[in-house]
Amino acid sequence: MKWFVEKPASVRLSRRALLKIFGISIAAIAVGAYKITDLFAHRNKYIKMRQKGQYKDDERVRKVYKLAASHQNPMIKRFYDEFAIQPFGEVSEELLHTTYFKRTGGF
Amino acid sequence: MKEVVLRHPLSSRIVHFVNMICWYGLFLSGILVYFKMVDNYERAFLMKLHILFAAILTLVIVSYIVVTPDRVFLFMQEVLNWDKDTIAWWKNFGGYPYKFLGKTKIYKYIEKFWFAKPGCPPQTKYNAGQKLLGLTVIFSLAILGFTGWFLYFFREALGKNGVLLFFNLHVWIAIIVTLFVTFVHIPLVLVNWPDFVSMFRLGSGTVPVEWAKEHNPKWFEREVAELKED
Repeated sequence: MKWFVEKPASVRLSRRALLKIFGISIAAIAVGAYKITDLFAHRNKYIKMRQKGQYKDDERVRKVYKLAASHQNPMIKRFYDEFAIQPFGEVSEELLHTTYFKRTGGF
Repeated sequence: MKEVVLRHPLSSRIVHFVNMICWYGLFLSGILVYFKMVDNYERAFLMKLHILFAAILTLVIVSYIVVTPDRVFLFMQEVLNWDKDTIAWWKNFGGYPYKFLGKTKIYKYIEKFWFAKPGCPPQTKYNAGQKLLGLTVIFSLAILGFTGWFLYFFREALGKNGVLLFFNLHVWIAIIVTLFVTFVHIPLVLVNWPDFVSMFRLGSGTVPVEWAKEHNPKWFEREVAELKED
């Protein structure tokens, strides 16, 4: 049997050039990925802290009122019945949702 | 004397096989969860399975890039190389409509159209359609990997609109590409039987030389060399 194979990449590109291309690409991806993940991990820290606080409040209310689930909270029920109409509605979004930015500029 | 040419080296075949298994595993688990076809407990389990498949696929692709950068370079160069014959292939889809319909009664109604003409311009290792598929898979894997892992690790930081955007991109790119692969790539590769066999057989990933000369003449003439005779 006669065997044929594809010519190796080194015929089209020297080992040095191949290492340069992959070295630069991997370095760029690694630095970029590190910077992005660092940025988001930092941002996530504050969001997770706020979430933790909210869950803690929820647990406290459930203990006081002896509730099985969060949606039985009488304050939340009254808030939606009389005021905000529905979760994710315009009013609740404006009052309850927040955005994250640096608030320490004036200090 | 039988003459064969190595079309798919072992490293590429392993990556293709793992990609295939993980892709469909990810697709099925994702679809069952997204369209709520199962109960909450099963959805939670399927999401764990989804993450497991994603981790395996990510690991294998990263290993492929690190261990065999030369194969990655050759593949990228091949799918990005669009010469005049690649463009000409699209004029009649490489003669495939003629091959499928040329001997049927339908052909007399479509023979005057450009897409039904016979013949195929000489192609390199992959034809124009395969190059488009290669680029589609590379870009979709990159987008799906990026959006998926971002949603997994940093969903809180994305905000409501960011999560919705990433989630919709993730779901709909996966669905569109899977439909393309299932209904175009798989049937066409089954028609090109030697190519299918070279990818999936237990032995070497070779195709007969006559087949390569017919389907990929530019590749065989320019990029293939004789290795040995036994």
